[in-house]
Amino acid sequence: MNQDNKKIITGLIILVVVVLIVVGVKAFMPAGSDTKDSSSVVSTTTRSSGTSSGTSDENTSPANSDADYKDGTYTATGSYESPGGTESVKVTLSVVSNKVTNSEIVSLAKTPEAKEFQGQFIAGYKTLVVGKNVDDIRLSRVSGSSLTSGGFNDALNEIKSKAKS
Amino acid sequence: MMPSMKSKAKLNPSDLPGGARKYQFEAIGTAWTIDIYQDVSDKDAATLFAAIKRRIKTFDKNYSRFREDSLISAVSRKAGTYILPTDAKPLFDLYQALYQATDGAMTPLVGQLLADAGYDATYSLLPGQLSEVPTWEDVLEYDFPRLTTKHPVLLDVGAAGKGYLVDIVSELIEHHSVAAYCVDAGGDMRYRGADHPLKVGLEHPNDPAQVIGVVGLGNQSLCGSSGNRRAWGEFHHIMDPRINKSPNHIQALWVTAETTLLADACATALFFVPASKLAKQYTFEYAILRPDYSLEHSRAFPATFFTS
Repeated sequence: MNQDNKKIITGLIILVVVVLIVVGVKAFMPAGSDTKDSSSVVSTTTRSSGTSSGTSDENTSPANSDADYKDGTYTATGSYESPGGTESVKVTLSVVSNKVTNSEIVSLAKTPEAKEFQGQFIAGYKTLVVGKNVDDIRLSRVSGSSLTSGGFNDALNEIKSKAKS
Repeated sequence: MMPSMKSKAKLNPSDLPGGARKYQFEAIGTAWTIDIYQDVSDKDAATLFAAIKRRIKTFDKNYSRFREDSLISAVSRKAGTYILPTDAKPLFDLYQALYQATDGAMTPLVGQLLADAGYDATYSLLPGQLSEVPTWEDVLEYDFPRLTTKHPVLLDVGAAGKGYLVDIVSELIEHHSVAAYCVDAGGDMRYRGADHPLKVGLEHPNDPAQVIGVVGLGNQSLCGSSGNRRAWGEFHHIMDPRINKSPNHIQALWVTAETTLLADACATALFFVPASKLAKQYTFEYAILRPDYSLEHSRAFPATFFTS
């Protein structure tokens, strides 16, 4: 297959691996536990057609969607087969009150291609904040950069009008 | 879309409990709102607000680089030894410590660079030739109350001065037996004594009618910083003296801390060093909004954020 298709599929593989890791947080051991890191690896094998299957280590507890997750930081390394060989990413999640409050993905890529694609994914995956209208929320105050006073506003208006003329 | 320079979105008018007073005015280049959350007689309120106005005036006359009659302006005209006012100690001590912690990136010696870039006493906003910012050791000898300068130098203490003044005004309020209040200087605020958290919106840096999250402020201070309002040409009001440019890797940030002096100072320092470095010496929580709208925050930053 051509280079573009390879790139797309490798990107998809990475995406799927990370999504699997995030969804499979139940399988992780909390940081600081006695088990070694290797026992908490979630590994997936992928075929070049882009499908993937998941296997989990036998030490991990069975999936239970009603489980309460202990507050803490969870780390796991997931690996996948890329056209260039086995690659991995390390994922760390912070869980507070059964919600993921922070996440970090560290690239453990070995080949330049994997470095690039993992890098693109890591740069793009974080949830982005959006704005909500102040009118829709009950607020007592608002904090941002300091409000400017008349003098500064006049100066800004002046340079703007100079720029136009 | 250019953010509206002066206004903020209208807040819910019933945000004050009964018997509270609101006092709004302009000072030190920004808009202040002081809320008193307990019963105070009209006479006592008038006395208190007059005292606040006077105290702000004194502070401005010492530390403003925008007026010719200030101490700061005198230091900019003539080298020598100056005896600093009593209230200078916490401010200058912190500046000295943060100068070290940021390897000189955060410095009171940035005044001339700001003025050269256009943020001068006349608000010309016209960039000229940018000077190199000298090192602390090259120009200053600080041994409170003495400040000795080796040659005339334009200092700027705006990065922490406003927060510090909020603390000073707050202490004045407490001295007048008012324990429950909020002092808000243009978005840098200190809240004390109420029995519930204050809901503070985190202003969207590109749209003042929106917020990207809400802080539940306890008995603490909150400061926000962004390059959105005080911006002209390629510059905004925070300048990195190592490269003579305004940092553009952060869109907005917020800090909570025990004092407004510390929150304000950290809100500038975080443009120059990672939070982990500052956290070794200081206790604070923070949230940083990057240009791509991704958010980094400390675990205990007391806010909920709105996400897509």
